[in-house]
Amino acid sequence: MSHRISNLSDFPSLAELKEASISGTGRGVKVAVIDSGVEIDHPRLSRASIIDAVAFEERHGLIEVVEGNAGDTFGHGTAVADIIHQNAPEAEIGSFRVIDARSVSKTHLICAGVREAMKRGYHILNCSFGCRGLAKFILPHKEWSDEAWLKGVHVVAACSNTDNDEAEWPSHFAPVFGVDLADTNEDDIFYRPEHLVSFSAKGENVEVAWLNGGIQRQTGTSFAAPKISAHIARILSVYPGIPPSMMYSLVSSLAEPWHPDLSSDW
Amino acid sequence: MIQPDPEISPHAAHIEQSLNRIARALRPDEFTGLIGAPGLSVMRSAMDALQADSLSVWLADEDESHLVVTHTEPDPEFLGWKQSLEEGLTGLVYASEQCLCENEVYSNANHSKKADEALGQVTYAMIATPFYIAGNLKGIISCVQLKDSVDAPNPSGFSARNMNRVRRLSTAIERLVNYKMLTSLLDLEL
Repeated sequence: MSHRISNLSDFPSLAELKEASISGTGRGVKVAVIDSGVEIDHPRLSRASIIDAVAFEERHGLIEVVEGNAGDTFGHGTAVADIIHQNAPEAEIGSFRVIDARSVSKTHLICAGVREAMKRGYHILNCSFGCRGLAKFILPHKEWSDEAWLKGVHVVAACSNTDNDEAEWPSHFAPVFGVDLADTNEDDIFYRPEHLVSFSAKGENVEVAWLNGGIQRQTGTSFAAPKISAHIARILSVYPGIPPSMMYSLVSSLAEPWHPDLSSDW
Repeated sequence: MIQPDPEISPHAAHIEQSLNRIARALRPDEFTGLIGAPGLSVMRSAMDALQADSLSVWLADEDESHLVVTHTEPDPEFLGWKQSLEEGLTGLVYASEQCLCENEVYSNANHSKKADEALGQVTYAMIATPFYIAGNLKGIISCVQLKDSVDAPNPSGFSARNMNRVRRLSTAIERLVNYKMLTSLLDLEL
């Protein structure tokens, strides 16, 4: 059962939201995996609802949008889709392939991918990547993340694997759910106030789907971010229409407080 | 706080350009001489702390088509090993400039098994981090845990904390190399 929130008096209590974050399944919520593609026939995704598989490729200076392009260039996007599916089993997943087999992308391909996902009505954009925090890259990434904010689309982005203070786009934009990995075996979500990358979740030695039907153990912020995406999807499946500004406050209120032992730095 | 040297600061841009030029021209066979005893010491202590079986510095060759093992600990057997940048997890880290930490590497389709086959070993766990000189990407530093065969017991594996340690090692080695190049450029003996 879902409850659309139209004004603040309808707003659920924290206890109700906590319950939604546990009992929600992601039904009716569309999550875009902006990544290296998804191996849609992977056994671990056999029950997942994968509704789009689009690839963005550069040919002769133009961006070619290839529909129905199933397949993952190196396994990363399949891992991300798997984590979302494990944690929000009824969420609909869309694969928007913008990263190549060398784990490299270009800003204009990412911009094309996220815009296409927004055009298709996705509620959450999972960005398990980061563009180096150079000034020249700010504007294009800020434009699309602002567009997402205005459209009520939630952007979840992984930060740098080794230093959450190292500027990367989009995880270092304030309206984005910046996610770090937490050194924990728990499934909890942690909140660290006064940091641009303020959320963290388990991202170490995570068992994930990988290329050719395989299973891998992977470590990185990339595998923590989809846990936050799934968490938001579960809440949205019970309370649709919560905008990113409110969701940020809600998720931070529901999260466990961050503590230094969770840091992977030494 | 260190204040800029008034005699040197007007030449900062020129010094930076010269450093970049030297870094670009750096040959893999010059590397061990540049890091010297302090570099070897930090690498060995990092390796011990990580319980790694091997630690290697790979530098891109002149035409940036291959990574070449320029320094390796503890066994020099791997020295000079060349791997295409299009291949394996090392090439992936170089291309993406993102650190990697992975256990059960041998089962990853992206892992190149050529080195394992040549050296008669199985790579169980790997950390690889980009390596810069004078701020420019120059190669990668990798750390591995090995086993004799796929069926042999697994070593302890690596963690995100270990990955951070290798990233800091990479920064320390870069600073050491930058310092050596700078003192040589300015003809200083500090």
